Amino acid sequence: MEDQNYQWVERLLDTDSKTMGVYLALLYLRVWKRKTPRIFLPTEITEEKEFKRLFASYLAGKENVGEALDAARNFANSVISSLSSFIYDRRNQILEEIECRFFLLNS
Amino acid sequence: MQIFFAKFVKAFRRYIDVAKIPEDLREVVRGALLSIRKRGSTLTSCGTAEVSVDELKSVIKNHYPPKQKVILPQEINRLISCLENSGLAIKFENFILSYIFPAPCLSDEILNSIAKSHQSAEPIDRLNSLRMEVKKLENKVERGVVDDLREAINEIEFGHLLAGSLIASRVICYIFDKIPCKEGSKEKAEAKLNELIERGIIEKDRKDEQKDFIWASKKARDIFSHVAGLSPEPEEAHRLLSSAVTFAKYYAVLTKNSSEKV
Repeated sequence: MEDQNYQWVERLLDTDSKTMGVYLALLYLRVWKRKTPRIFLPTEITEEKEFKRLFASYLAGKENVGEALDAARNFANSVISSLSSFIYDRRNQILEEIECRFFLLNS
Repeated sequence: MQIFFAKFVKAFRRYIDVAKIPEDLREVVRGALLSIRKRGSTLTSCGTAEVSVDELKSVIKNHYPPKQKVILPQEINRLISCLENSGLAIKFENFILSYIFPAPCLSDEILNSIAKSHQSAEPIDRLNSLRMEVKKLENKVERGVVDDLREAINEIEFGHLLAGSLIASRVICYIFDKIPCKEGSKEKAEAKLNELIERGIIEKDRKDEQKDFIWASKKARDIFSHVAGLSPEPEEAHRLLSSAVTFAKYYAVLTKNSSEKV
């Protein structure tokens, strides 16, 4: 998964709803789970109460909710399964690389 | 090469609901978000920010118009709720004393869309109607003209008025140069307008359209190459964009007539 181009992420971002699902999963892992050392599978973060609340705040009642949720689940599982043995700092670093991909915030 | 962040911003534009922020407070919100972005301390290197409730209240308060001397705490709390309901800010249950502002919500595109939504929905409808007109021009004018028009519409939709106006002006100047006129004419815009009238492309009694042609020819030239630092007003940018599409329609008729003559 840790290919430098993150092509596996690119494949999840082909519609706005999937992209939103991926970003919310990314944000959830980066913010809510930022200090969680290891996240064990088969835990589905998309089943967690706080994630559901976050997800619903943007996507409840919208079209293609299912595909957004699938994308979120795929993204989270790919990150977790590949990095469960790493300390959370490394996971956070990778999440940031994905968030920032080729972006510099104007300041 | 993947540009993930641009995709995240696009998705956020679709899923946030700026309408949940009272219209008269959108400039306050925009200013507050800009301050949060500029304060330097962020949770992620991309710019996702964690802001304490106290700091958020203070930032919001600082962006109220100076004439509003008394700002009730309830009013600030209501605006914070609006930020959360719109999706611009996130409250995680265990972060009792802070809000999360996702990096896409602090991007130029989203900030501009907050400012733009301050206007009526009419300009958006106008942009969509221009998009349909551009679609009809496919295969009637060069691909480059159609691409430029689409790009100009996108830029103006994102609130990038200067970029959109420059691209629209490029289309106008390009087509203006293609319109024939009598050699030695001093007033080229007038001479080219007369040519279009003589060819029946602009009707003789459509004074408003003729006036628009002259205005657009001069304005596009000023913006594109004659006056450095010229920054168009929103209404001016929209007018220039409409003119660019109209010019492309003239051009479609001109090129069709020319090829028929050949």
